[in-house]
Amino acid sequence: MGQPGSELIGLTLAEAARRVKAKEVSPVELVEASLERISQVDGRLAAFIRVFEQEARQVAKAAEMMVLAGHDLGPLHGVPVALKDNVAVRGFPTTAGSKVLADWVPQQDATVARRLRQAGAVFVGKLNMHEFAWGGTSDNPHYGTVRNPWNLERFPAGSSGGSGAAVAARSCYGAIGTDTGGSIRLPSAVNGIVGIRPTYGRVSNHGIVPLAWSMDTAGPMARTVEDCALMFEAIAGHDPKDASTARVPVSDYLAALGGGVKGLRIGVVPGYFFHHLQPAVLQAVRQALDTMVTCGGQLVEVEIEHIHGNISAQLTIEAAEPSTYHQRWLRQRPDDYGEDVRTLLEVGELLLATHYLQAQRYRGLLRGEFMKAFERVDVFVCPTLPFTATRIGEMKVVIENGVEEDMLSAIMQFTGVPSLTGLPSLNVPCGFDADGLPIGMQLIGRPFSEATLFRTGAAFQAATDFHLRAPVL
Amino acid sequence: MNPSDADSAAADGGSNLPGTSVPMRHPSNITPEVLRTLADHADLPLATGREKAVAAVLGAWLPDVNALCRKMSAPEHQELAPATTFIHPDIGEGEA
Repeated sequence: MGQPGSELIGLTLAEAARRVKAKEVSPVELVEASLERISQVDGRLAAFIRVFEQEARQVAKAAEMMVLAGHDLGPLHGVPVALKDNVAVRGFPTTAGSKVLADWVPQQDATVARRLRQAGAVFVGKLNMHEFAWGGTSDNPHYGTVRNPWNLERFPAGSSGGSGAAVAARSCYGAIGTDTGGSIRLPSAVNGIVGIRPTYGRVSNHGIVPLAWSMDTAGPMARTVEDCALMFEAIAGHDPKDASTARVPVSDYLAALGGGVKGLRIGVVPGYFFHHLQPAVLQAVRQALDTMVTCGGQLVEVEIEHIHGNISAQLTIEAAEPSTYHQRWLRQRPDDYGEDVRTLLEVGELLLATHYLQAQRYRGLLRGEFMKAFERVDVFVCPTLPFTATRIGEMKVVIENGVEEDMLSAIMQFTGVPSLTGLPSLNVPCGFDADGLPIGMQLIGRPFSEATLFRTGAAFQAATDFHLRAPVL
Repeated sequence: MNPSDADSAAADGGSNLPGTSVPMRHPSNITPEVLRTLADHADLPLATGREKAVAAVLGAWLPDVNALCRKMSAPEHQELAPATTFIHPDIGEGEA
C-alpha cells in the first residue's frame, strides 16, 4: 500500500480489484485517488452531476476493514465506480439529467446498483447525461455541457456522455450507462473506451428511468474488455422485478476472455457497414478487420436485405415511447424540459399508431434476417458511428462530400441495428483520426452471446494498444 | 432533421444504395396551422410559437417513416407481428 494517487488512477479496474484482494492497495487509497482526480478534472468535463465524497469514503473505510479481516465482498471489492444519473441509488437524488426529476430521491437501489454493491463496488458519484437520455450530445441545459477529455471542444456523445468522459478521464474505474439507440456504445466510441449494450433482457432495467421500454438496456463502460466483462458479470441475470429479463444462466465471461478468434466467422455487410463514413473511420475499421483476420478470424460477407429503413424505425419507436412516458409532465411542466428534448417529445405525440406499429413489425423482419445470417456468422463487425467527435453545440455533421446531415439520425446509422433487434453489441476502440480523436468499432452477436463479444474484443485488445492510450488533461 | 442518406436511400425497399448519389426525400411541408390541428387532436397544448420547431422535425421524419410503412405493408411481410418486447424461448444453457 502507499502508491501515489496519480499511479492508482492509471490502473485498470481488473488490476485495481486484484491489488485490493492481494492487500497491495486499500479501497481507501483507490477512492481517494478517484476523488482527487474528479476534483482535478471535472470542473472542465462536467461528467458528474453529484460526487459522493462522504459516503464513498465511509464505504471505502468499511471495505478496507473487511479486506484486512479476510472478508471478500466480491469481484469489485473496494473499486470506485459511478452510475449514470438515471439509475436509482437509494437516498440520493436521481435526476435523469432533468429538472423534472431534480428532487426525486429514490428509496431503493436499481437492481444494477444493488448488484454492484453486492459485488463490493464503491459508488463515487452520479454521472451527467443527455436529459432523460433522449439525445446523443450530453449537452445538458440543467447540469452543464459534458466535454470530451480527448479534446474539450468536442462532444462526448450520449446519452451516457458523463459515463464515457469520466471513465476515459480516469475519474473512476468503470461506470454504468444505459443504451436505447446507442447511448452506451456511442460515448464509448468517441471517448476511446469499451462499453456493452447487452442482449435485451440480460440486465435488469428495474429502478432505471425509462426512455423507450422496448429497447432500453443498461450496461458497463470501462477502459478494457476485461474490465467491462468483470462489471458485466456482476450485474447480468434474471431479475424478478423486471419481467423482461430472461431466465438464461449467466456465463463465466472472464473465463472466456482468452479464447481468441481463431476460426471465428466475422460477418460484414458491405452494402451498409462500409458506406457513408468519414475516411478515417473507414480506414480504422478495415484495419481492425485485418488485425482480426491475422489473429485467425475469417471474414464472411453477408447481405441483410432489409437493413435500410432501420434509422426511421429507430426514430419512430424512440420518439413514440418516450412521449408516452412523459405525457403527463409535458402537459404540466413543459418549460422544465430543455428545448431539444421538449421538441422531440412533442414530435413523438404526433406520430400515428400505424407508424409506431409498422416500426415494431420491422424489428421482427430485421431480427429474422440477422438470426438467419448467424447460421454463417459468429459475430458482425462494423463502425460504431460514422464520424469522430464533433464540436460541442453542433447539431449537423459532415460525413462525406461536404454534405451536412442531422446529428441525431446520422449518429444512429449503425447502433440502431442492435437496438431494434435486441442483439448484444460491444464497442471496442480501434483507432484515432488525424486530430487524435478516438474511433470505435461495434461487434454484434447472437442473443446472449456476450461472452463471444468479450472474447473477440479481448483478442483484439491483446493485439493492439488503442485502449492503453489516455487523454492528457 | 433528416434521417441520413444511408437510411432514407431505400427505406421503402427501393433499389437505391447508400453512398450513391441519392437525393434526400423532400421534407413534408407541415404548416403551423396543420401542426396546430394535429396537436389539438392529440390533446397536446402546444405553447404559442412552438409550431415551427416541431413542424421542422416532424416534416423531416415523415417521408421516411411513411416509406417504412409502405415497405412493411408489402404482401410478403403480411405475417409479421409487431415486436414490443423480445422473449427468448429458444435459448438454451449459456450462449446461443
